[in-house]
Amino acid sequence: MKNMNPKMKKWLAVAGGLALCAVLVVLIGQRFQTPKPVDAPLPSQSSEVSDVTVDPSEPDSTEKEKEVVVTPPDTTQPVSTDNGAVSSGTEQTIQGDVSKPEYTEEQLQDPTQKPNGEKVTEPPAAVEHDKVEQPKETPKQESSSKPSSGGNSIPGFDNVPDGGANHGEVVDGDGDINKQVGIMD
Amino acid sequence: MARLKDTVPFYLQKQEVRMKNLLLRVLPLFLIFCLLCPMTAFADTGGSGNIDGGGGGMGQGTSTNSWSPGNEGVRVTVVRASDHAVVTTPFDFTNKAPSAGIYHFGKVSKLQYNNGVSLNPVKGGYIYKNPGQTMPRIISTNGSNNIEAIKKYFCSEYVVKRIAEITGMNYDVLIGGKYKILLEPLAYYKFEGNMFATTATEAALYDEQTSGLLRRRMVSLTHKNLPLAMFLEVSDLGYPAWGGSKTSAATNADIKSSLGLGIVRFEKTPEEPQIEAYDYEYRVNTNVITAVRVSGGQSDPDSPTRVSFNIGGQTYSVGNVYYPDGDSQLAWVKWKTPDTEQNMTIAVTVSGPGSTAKTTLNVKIVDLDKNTPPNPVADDRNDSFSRASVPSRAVKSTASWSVWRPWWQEYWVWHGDDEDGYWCDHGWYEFDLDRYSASLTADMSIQCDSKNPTASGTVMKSGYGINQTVTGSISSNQSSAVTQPQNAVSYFPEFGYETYWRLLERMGTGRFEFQKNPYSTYKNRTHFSPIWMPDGAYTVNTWLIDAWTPDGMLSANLTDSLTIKGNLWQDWHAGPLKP
Repeated sequence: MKNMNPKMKKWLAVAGGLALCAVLVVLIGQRFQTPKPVDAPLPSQSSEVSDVTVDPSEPDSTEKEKEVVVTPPDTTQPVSTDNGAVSSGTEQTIQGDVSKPEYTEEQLQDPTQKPNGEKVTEPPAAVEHDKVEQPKETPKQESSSKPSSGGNSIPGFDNVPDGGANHGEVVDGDGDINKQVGIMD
Repeated sequence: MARLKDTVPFYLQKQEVRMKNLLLRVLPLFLIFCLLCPMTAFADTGGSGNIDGGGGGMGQGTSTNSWSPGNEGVRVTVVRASDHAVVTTPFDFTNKAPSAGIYHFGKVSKLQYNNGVSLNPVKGGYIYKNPGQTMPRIISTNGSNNIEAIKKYFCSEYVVKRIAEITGMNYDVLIGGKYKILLEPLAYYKFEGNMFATTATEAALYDEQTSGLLRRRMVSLTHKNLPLAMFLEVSDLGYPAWGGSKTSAATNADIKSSLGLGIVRFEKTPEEPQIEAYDYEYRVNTNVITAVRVSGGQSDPDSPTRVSFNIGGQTYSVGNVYYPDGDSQLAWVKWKTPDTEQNMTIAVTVSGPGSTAKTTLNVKIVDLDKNTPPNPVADDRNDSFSRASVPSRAVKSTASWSVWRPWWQEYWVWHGDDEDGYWCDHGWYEFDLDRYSASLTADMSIQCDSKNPTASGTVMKSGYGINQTVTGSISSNQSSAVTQPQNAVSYFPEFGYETYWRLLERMGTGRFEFQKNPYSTYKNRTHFSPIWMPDGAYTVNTWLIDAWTPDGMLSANLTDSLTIKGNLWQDWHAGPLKP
């Protein structure tokens, strides 16, 4: 600052003053700016009002700025986890993946038990690969396939109610069996 | 033929050769017969549909799973022709006396099952009617054509009079043309050691319940001869004509939708078949589901079926589509429709086993955001107004579908010597049927607009506006396979519930209100009742749509009312100022 000549100091003082004035003008000016319209005063609803005109060509210019924007909800379903299905994108599935159980080499070569842990009482009889016959009656695991066992149980339903004795009757009467009244052609 | 007596078990292999020889002789004659006699029929009770293929078609019977020809009946239901409503409790005709303790599913018709009624088994208490004049053979097993006898029997005055007596209907009303008689063949057979009485539709539903066990045991009866005993040649009562195989076992889906029914009508002109120009109609900018049924061969993880949908240039692939041999599986894709109205063609390709009946789907995409009511003005008049009743619109509140889930059945076999031997899995895939459903709950309410100065509860003067809130939600045990309702459209009494409508705005998942009304001073979400609306109920009708499932769209037809009393002019009058 000592190196500055008095002329330079004077110009700096004037420039600073001007800048301060400009800031003040802006701040003061903002105070005088018209505020955004709040709720337009609504005409009081009374039976005394005699004349109301609505110009539909200028619908509520005063309320435009207050318009609430409703963002449409995103209805895209998330990737589901209910049965493993994938329901978005271009690679979809209707259920999860299915896989076979996998076993180690040791399990596959252990003659004392099957790889799934089932014990073998006798040494297994060797069968040639292409002479294996699958059982006709599949040992199905699901309860729905169990044959009925006691009670009123049938495949797919347990505790079926008892309806009692059957009731049949012969229905007969007049009417010509050879006279056609309906159409079934 | 004479050897095929009722007492002879159907599964004797000796018959195969005889039947094939017989078939070779009969088939050319039958084909000539078909060429000479053009079919003008619409209900086929088994004639052409009953060409069973002769002997050998019934498979192997066992002591626990068997059926003998003649153990059969017909379920009879009277249906109103105009709206396909079941008007009488179904009953069963049979020549037999079914054994005590027979399992059955009550007296439910195909129409009722297709409308969502579920199986409800009962042991014993089976009710049946033996007609004095015995029925002709219904379920054919030997290729013989009994159609003329079946038609003659069920169209006869004698049988129709019995039906009128049993159902309690006036005979003249029954044959007056406003009603039709739905016939469904049913069979009495032994399954897993128990006797059962089922129609074809019940057998298909029960097969699903047992994950395909019934089909595995009794395919020739329950999935071939029973459903093919009767089917339609021209659509009627909402059921399509059967265009599939008439000689091979059908899928559960085909049985439920198209097989095991015949129809007796009493009017000369048949019901006009409905021609569907489009497979699907969607709205713009909506998440939708498009589905096709795949069948043929077996699809499992070792030999999987993959379905591709080409939609608007984009290919969507759907995997993990599995089904056991002889059955079918629905494959569906979820996608979003474009935002402009258009007609689209979706090309469907199937890779791997199986195929689909439709390889091209025609889709119509419409924009409902138009035809909004015009600006209401004070001097509107409508002196010729008459109230219209709220129209019925397509409504579906529940949907059901199923997914075949394969699982590996291990079958371990030892190969080689003890020292260098090894276990080898000679297993196979079994299938379980996972069943899913969805249901739509919906509600709507209309209220007097908040700016109405003289509204009192649900009573208002005509000329003022109303607000509306519609809610709808879909619940399902496979949420990935459904979409929530996405559109709602309101219709109004002043326009006879047509001409003009308002597409509502989605305000959140499953919630809808009117769009902002440009003619409202306050730009409210309102609809103005016309000033000329007579006093009385003002009922708004809203159709909630676009809740999609693999089984089609769920929708609800809703109404709510306010009461109009007086009009807006009574609130606004000019008068001299008080001095």
